[in-house]
Amino acid sequence: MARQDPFANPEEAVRRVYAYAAYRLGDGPEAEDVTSATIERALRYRGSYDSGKGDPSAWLVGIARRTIDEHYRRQALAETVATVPESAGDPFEDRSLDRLTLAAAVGRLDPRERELVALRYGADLTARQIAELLGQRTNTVEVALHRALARLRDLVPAPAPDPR
Amino acid sequence: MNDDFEPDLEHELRASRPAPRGELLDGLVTKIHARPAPARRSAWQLRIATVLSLAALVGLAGLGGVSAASSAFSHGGGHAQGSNGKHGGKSKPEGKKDVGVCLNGSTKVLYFEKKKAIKLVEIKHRGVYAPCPAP
Repeated sequence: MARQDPFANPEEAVRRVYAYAAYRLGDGPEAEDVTSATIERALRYRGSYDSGKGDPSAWLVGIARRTIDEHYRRQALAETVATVPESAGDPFEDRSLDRLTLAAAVGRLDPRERELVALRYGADLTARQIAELLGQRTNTVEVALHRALARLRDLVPAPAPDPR
Repeated sequence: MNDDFEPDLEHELRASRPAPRGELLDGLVTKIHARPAPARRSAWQLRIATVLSLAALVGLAGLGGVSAASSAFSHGGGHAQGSNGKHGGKSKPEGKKDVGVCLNGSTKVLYFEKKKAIKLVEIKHRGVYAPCPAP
């Protein structure tokens, strides 16, 4: 059995798990709880990680998925809706607004689409890794991702026209 | 549809990836560093260890047979069979079988506890188990 430490880059590992959890649950305490629980569980089973069976990120995200499933079983999921405040046009503030708008849009996807977006753009997994994790064909995942992005495009409001 | 929405949505999803609070990130990274990875053995090390273990087992098993034969050889005398046989003055140990063997022109008596051991020695010495012939 090939062995490699899944925590060779601890900071990147935490960032990916959090981004995945936050895309699924919303940026906040729930994502933090899931991230902490995932890291704790991964540390416990660190010795059993087999690099021959997949990338460390995919292994960690697999644990995060199971942690989130347990989270859903414990409590009902609160729908995340972000309201977009008015902006004076500060570029940095506009960037923050973009994030809220996008996060709100992701929160409005159905659970399946949201999970795909979280795996692809939060955990940064490839379509193939996602397919292995979900037990599906790569082509199926790619098609589903394409549909999720199309749905997101419909949900994200177009930027206001420049008054100048 | 917002076909003219800029920038590219995929790029935006990655750039806007939610980030953990600094405190959370630092806390978890510290926890990870505090629990070092378990010692790992390479596949080669495992194979070598397995081979050495098997070799040791085979060696011990062989030693067991040899030691039975060598302890039997070290016993002399008792029931000499043959006129040229050298025999010691020791009597046959209880519970053991005796076999007269012609070795280097003289008959020696060997004692074995089990028939199996006799068979092994017979195989080793090619079944030459008989007292020395009369001159």
